[in-house]
Amino acid sequence: MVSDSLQDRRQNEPEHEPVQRREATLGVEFIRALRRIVGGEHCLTRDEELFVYECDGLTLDTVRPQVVVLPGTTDEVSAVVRLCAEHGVAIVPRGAGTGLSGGAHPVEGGIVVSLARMKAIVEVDVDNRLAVVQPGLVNADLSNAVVEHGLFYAPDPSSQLACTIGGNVAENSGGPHTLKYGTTTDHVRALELVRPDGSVVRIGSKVGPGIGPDLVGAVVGSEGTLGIVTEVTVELSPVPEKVETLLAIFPDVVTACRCVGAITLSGLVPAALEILDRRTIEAVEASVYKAGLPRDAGAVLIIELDGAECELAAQAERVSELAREAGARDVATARDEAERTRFWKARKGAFGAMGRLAPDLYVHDAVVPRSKLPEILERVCEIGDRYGLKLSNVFHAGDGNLHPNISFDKRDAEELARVVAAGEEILRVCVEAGGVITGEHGVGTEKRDYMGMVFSDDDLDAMLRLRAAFDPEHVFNPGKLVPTTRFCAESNPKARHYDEVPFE
Amino acid sequence: VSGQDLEGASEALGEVLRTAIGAEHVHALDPPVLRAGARLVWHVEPPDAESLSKALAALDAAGGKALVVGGSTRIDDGAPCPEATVLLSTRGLHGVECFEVEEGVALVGAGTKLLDVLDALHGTLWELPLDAPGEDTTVGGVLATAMEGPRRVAYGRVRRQVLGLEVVLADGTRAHCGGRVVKNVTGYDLAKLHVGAQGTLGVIASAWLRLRPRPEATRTLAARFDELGPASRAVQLAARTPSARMATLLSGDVASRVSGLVERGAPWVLAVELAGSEAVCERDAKMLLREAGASARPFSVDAVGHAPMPQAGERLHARIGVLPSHVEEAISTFRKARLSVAAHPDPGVVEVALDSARSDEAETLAEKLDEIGDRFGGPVVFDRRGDPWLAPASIDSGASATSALWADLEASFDPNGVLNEGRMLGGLA
Repeated sequence: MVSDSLQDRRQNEPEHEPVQRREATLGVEFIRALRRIVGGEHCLTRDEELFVYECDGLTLDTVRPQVVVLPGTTDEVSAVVRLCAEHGVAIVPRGAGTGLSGGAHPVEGGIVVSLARMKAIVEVDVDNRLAVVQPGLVNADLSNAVVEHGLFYAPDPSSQLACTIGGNVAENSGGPHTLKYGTTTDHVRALELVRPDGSVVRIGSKVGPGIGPDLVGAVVGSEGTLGIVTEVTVELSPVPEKVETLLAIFPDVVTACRCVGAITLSGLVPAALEILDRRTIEAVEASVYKAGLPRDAGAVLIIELDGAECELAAQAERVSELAREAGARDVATARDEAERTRFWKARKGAFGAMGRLAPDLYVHDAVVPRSKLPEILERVCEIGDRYGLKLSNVFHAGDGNLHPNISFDKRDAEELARVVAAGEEILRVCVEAGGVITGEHGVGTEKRDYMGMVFSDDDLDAMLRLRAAFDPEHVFNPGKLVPTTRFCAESNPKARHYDEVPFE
Repeated sequence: VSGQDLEGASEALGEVLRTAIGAEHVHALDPPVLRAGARLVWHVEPPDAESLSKALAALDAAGGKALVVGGSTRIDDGAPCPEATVLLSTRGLHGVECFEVEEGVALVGAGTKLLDVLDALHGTLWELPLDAPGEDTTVGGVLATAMEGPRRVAYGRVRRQVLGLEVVLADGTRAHCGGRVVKNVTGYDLAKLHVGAQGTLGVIASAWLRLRPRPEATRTLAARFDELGPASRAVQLAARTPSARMATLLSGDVASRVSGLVERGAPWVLAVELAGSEAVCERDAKMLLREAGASARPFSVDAVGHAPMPQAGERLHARIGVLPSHVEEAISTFRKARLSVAAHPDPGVVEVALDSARSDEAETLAEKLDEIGDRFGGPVVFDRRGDPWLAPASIDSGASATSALWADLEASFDPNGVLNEGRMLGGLA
């Protein structure tokens, strides 16, 4: 009975015929109407303008959009959505395009709505430690704007110098400091949302949720499939009294992982626990992010503690002891802010540094129970070796959030196939260990068809019920996040009605 | 419809349920029980999630309607559920099914009492960051109502503690969301929907919960104040103290329900719990003594959680979301109306109650709360408004923009209104 329900729901999904629709609707009149709404200069249709929108940080495949619009106000977003609703055109919302799972990949026959122009800080409420911002605001710009008040915005993805708050909301972004501070969802109190009919609703409140389903919590992390967020009310956190950053040097990554387990069981909650393995260290030290990391180390563990000044020295001492007991050959404490910044520059610049290793980088993302990190890391490295790939690891060890990174050349089809196969095998290993297929990068198109590794049809059916309540026609970001028959045509011929084609 | 027809339909429903999950889990309530505005004739207590699934599938197919309960701690609060005839208890889904010490996570059945979870964690490194009051309060009940307890300063919102859920939907579908790991963006975060949904979108069967390391030290402090101004400033200072685990300001009548808190007759009482390292507790206690006159007092934090709970006979009890900067103004406004007050500045919630002797003023004051709610920044949630058996309660005065979305969700998850119908949308429907 229950499986039928999913089948019914999938078959009842709106039937999109992307190619025909594009020809039918994205014609001259439609594009003129878009221009009237956002202004000619904010409606991009030339190839050289569209090139940068053909993918996000997931570069394995690309789709050139036909039109990209950059509205400047909520009213313009609303008008664009209304127009698309009238014409049955799908919409892909986009922030800075730094996402790594294809969530901002264009869909054929649809338009891309970039929120990049809506980047204002609408309000900073220091007394209540809140800020109201537009979605196109760059993550780091928010913290920079409020630091003078002794506040900061806690979620800090590695791409925080480029990624936007709206994109963070879509992906429920994390970052190194989510170990202590939580991910984006823990910091968003209210949203302004443009719905598929163009109407604008405000959900949540400055105080946070009241009673009833937490709609804000449902929208955060929904990868732009439930609406377009046009304003975000976020919590700000007080800058900690003191920060201590330690660098523990280990002979290998597995030993470093064991240290993470020991720290977790000590009862201390560091602000961050980040591991860089040997290959990452080599890449970083050969790049502009060079931080003086020991090139002969098998792995380094960055341990950041923050909190009350009166307790931090003792905590740092305890962590040093634990690291040495776990097998660290050395533990250094950042002597000053400059050295601390250098450690973090190495960590956050690691992905950029890997650009030296090969033309392309596949940044993978999965989560495992923290106690399983040592064995899973061993298996991940074994998979990389078995497939003959350049695999390096830089990850949020305190959360069990792995980032196995594969450096490759996508022009080499055979190597690309090995990358994809190894990636899938890594996910299977993580799921078998009780983990999940993404901790912060999202599902997007990259992992949509792997959702079945984690969830049953009934689980996915429940997700589609949420989708049905917010966006029954799948106007927003169709084909992302939840596998549906339409977008799993390769594995389900029924989706393309091949099963209805007569044999004669 | 004649009484005889009703009786026949009711008996048929009982038979359907007995067939689905076994007669030993289905009991007739004779005489029928009147709770939450419903006349309940069947008590159903599935022993596991699979039975719950079968019971709901049967109920849905038969057109039945259920009032879902955990420990029944707050069964009479909130909007009524007048059409329900089945009292569906989750108490059979009991037990700490898995406690992963190395991870600091636990899988707990929805019907498990919070006290039993605390027992299971006793003596370990970990503590449960859920502390909604009530001896019979269950994990499922806390999650369904998103009910916070006195330690909300440190624990934060209930939703934050939920890593994953198994939920049985109204048609019997068993659906999982989230997982057991501490970081996860795999798919929609459906757990956020179910936490606080009052059981209207599905029945929570079990939950993976995030645990917190037990603090090295704790201290309780209290101070009395004659004037609201200094009291309000003190509670805000306490709430932003790094080691604060509880910071609550109670009007004297509420404080008097807590044994050992302060001497009787104090107009305002500040109750604080600090938790963390010895060093930080010591430092913060000295600061609060110096700045707020708060001194060490041995009182029960649980009792502080119990004190503002709805009392027998009360006809007005509400929780108002209030921004920290408006706390003093809000309390002053409520106190002028001679309401009992318990204020938690972070996250900002002020609980107010009207003495049962003034029940005739309940609706007038409720309307006033509706009007002024927006001024303070957050929603107004009425646990009690008038007589819940006679008048539908309004749950959230500021929810008009979102109530349509709630209705769409209910239609999507429970199109036949099997689960707690009316409980969430109440007077807004």
